[in-house]
Amino acid sequence: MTALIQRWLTGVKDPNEEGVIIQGITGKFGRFHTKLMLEYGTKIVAGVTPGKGGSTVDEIPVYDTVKEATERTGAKVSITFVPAPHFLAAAKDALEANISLVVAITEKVPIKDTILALKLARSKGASIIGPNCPGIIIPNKIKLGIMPANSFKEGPVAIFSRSGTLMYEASYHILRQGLGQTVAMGIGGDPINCTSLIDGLEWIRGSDATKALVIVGEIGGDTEEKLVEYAKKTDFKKPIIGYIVGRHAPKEKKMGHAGAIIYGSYGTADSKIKSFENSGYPVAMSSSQIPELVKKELAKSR
Amino acid sequence: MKIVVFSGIGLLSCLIQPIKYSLNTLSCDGAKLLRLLEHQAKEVFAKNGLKTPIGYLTTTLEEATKRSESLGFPVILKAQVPFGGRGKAGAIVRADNIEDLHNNFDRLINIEISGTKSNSILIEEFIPHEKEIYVSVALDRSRSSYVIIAAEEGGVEVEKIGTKIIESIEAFPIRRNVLEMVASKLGLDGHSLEQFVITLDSLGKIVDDYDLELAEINPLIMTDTGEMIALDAKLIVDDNSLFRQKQLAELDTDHDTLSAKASSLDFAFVELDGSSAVIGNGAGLVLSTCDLLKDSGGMPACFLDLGGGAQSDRVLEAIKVVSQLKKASSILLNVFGGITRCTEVANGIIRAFEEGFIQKPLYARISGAEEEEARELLTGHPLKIFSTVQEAISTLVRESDSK
Repeated sequence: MTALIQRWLTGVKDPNEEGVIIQGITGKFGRFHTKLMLEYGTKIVAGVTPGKGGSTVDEIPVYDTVKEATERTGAKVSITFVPAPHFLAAAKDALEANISLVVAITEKVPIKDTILALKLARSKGASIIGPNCPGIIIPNKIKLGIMPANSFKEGPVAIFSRSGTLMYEASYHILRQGLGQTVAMGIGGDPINCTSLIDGLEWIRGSDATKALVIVGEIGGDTEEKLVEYAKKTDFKKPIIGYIVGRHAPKEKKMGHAGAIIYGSYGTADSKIKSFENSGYPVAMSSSQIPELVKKELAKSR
Repeated sequence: MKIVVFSGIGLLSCLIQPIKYSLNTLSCDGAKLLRLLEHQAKEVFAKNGLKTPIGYLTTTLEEATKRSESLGFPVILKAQVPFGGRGKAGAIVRADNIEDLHNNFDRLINIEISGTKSNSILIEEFIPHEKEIYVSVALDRSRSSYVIIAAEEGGVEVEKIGTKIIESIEAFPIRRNVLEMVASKLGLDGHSLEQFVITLDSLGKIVDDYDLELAEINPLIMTDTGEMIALDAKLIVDDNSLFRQKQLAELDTDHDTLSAKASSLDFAFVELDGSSAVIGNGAGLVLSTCDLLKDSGGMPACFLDLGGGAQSDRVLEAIKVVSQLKKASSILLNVFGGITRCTEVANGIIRAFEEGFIQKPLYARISGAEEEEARELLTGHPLKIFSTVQEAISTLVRESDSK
């Protein structure tokens, strides 16, 4: 089954055709970002907070369960702002109600719970982005997450990032150089990302509007190496530009993100940078350098 | 800081052997890699039916002498520091007699690995053995699941092991056929296969019950009577699970350090070796700032992430934290305004000036949402503001060099 976002990005489906549900809409954080997403044009049709069914937030009806909310609205997407101890229950609620995409903003989710949620999503043919992520934005169409809208504008670049702020900053530099984005997604700062960089790559493979892919990586794990290997093996035609942070980070310390940690030689920035360079993909040394590398690659592929 | 570990699991509950643990310290830095000390991990093992050598935690030579004599020489002395490679670092020593013990005790109790000092020594019986096995249950990030890692070669760092058996774990408890398959791949059969199956099953249950990222036995030894004993124990806790792992959360009580103070304020904070305190909003952004600072010849004294959407009081608190960092001779603040508004950051800085917490040169890159308003607010305050982080860093490095 083709992922929902892939259908959005290849123009097969309108992102706002079905609606979006906010899980944890009655919390301060959920309420605040619901408003910002509505202002952006995201079609939010319902909120879910167990025990608060029957109330409203900014005129959006609140239900006790996702099942009720989907039955009333037909929504296919949910965004979770629930606290970490409730994440697994919220994800189950959504997936069992046949939600196709869960955007998990929730941070500090126990790894075991993430694994269980991911297993359930796979068995249902659904996707989870995150957890501990800023979400995904398709400029001018839909904003599913907490990213600041003013860093994004429609254009030819796809950005996938492990870090939230660096995604905003890289996007901002791209805007300042007259470019923009087809899509920007933060995959999350945890050791396990339910949507991998490779999943993201498949989502944009058939997107004609996407002319280049920027990967903002950081220390920890080997998701960047795996992406590079996969892109080469599957003959991915679009240019890829890397940016990896944590080049001077100490070992065995979690650098802010739960997933940003080096064990021995596993997860070093060096290993990631080398894998890009060995495959002929340029690597930026600072976020402000990203747009010029993108432009160079775009000129080459023209 | 002294705490009792696993209070309630006293001496008597360790039925398998009389491991006695008294007061001890737990080392957990502000970066929150929660790795249990060996003797704490072995207590978890013992509680869950895994066999470990008879051992005692000691802090004085007098106690160590008494314990060694009751165990009978030779004994193994193991400094309790939460890092790998202790053997190579000289933190594990075999003492064949009382002279060996006296010659090594002081060094071991004061040994420092990666900046963490050992405060106690685990004294264990020496167990002659032939076969050493490596076994762990670990989180495999690229498979998004837990895996069993096992090898016929134990006692060396896992990275250096040549041939490893790696099996994905579908769910806990680990299925019997998977346990048996790993055992037979290790060349075990009969009684030893059964012993290994029991050991690995318990290891899996420990990972599941305690929400661990890793449970490792290296080496697991087989005695000539066919018993399997965990000579070492390494457990790393998923700190996101501490809300439901109360026993483990109690271990995390390192209140005295600046790191602990920062993490109690919910900042991601890591102390580093340099002289410029680095603060920013977003883990990735702070990491990149540290990279660029080092590229330009500067050295970060710390990594501090304000987190997203910080209000002025968070900024004030962060500056208060780094003001206590004596080695820092300057502050580098990198804010990219998005969800975090630059004016909130500016107000936090102004309050920090007013309350006297900024006594060192402050170099701030402030850009993004409400940048202009923030600059206006900060007019007249003695800090340098830049639009790009590179400009801020170049100025900082140049002015530090000229001092």
